[in-house]
Amino acid sequence: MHNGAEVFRVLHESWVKVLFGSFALDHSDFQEQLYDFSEILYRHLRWVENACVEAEVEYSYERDQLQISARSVGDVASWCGEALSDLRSLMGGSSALEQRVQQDLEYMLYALDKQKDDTTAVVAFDRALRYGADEFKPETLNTLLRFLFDESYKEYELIVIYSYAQRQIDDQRVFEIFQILIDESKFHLKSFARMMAKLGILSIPRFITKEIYEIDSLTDFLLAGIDEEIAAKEECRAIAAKIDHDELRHFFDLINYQENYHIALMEEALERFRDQTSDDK
Amino acid sequence: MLENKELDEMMQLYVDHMANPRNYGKLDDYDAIGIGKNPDNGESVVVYFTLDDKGIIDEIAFQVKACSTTVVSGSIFTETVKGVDLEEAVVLSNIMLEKLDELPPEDAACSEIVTVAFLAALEHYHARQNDPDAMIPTRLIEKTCEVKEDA
Repeated sequence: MHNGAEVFRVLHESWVKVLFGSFALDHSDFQEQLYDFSEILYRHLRWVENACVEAEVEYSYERDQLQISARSVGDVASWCGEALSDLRSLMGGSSALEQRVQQDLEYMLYALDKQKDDTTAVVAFDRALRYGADEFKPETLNTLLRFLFDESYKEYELIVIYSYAQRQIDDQRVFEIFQILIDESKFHLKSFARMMAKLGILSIPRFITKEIYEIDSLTDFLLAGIDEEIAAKEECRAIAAKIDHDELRHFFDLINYQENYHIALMEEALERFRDQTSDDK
Repeated sequence: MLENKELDEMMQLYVDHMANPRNYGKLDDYDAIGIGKNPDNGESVVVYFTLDDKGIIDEIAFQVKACSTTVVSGSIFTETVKGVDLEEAVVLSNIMLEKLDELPPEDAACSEIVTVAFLAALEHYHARQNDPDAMIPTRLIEKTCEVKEDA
């Protein structure tokens, strides 16, 4: 791939745009299709990353600050289509990977084009601060907003950090643990972003700088990460106890309990790093 | 005690800056750069700026490794000092620091870390007048980022 670093950067932006485009929509066949496209684009991203590593091409997870706003389903489709057209303009090689990405893009652009005239309203950006028909007390709403903005950023940050860190891992089990944590963060990000969309405050998290995702010590990162998971558990527990909304209370309890397994996985990874360090001595 | 209307306005302001933070990012060609740090939890803010030929801050950017309230503080602060000269920027920074005690503790720490990052950048700017390779200063905050207890 002759322009791997540029393809990687634009592909990263395209993945994020299509992912958040899918979060902006109410449940529908097109919404599911768009989310599937984002998953395919994430796989493309990792394959291109692998190609860059093999070719010793320097690449970066930094990207532009992205703003999303749309009034209709057609607006979302057009916005995603523009991102994918930009990506397509960079493609052109004949390797199996480049061919695969190009063919996928052709299909995605075809599917998006069919939706571009859909005038169905999108409420994900209307700042109504209501959860469907439900309203929260100002104190609860304030806590919920801060939590959603903070945690949606953190989940995106974890996806980037674990994705990048997988390149440095020789241990198969630790690689697998990081993959589980990526998949879990994707679920959490989707859940939080959909809540934000329902409240009318959906936005794309700020970008992650190299200083954040290039980890000097994975051991220190995991130790700090365990503390963050414990803090996140406590926040979820506090919101679940405070919020006067049955569905959300159950959901925040779920997230709280899921963090227990994350902590166990991170402790297992830490243990394996420590064993490797003692073996090296 | 804030009225519901004021709370609504504050939340809309918070959402606006969080969803669309002004001046968030990096400046590759800057005249000065400074770092603010919270020694308790490792959170940090980096501020960059450039001056035009009249000494006015014409470009400013910030990045955070911190919570969303710090992003909102950075967005509002950088919007405030963009377009003013350094003397006025110092006055505005001092007003900000004087008002910290009026804010809830966790919000005070977020505002302070942005302000001290900017003051570190100012220090860098002055140091570079004598030494273009002057070290990037880091300033620590004094406030503690306490977790807000529920009312």
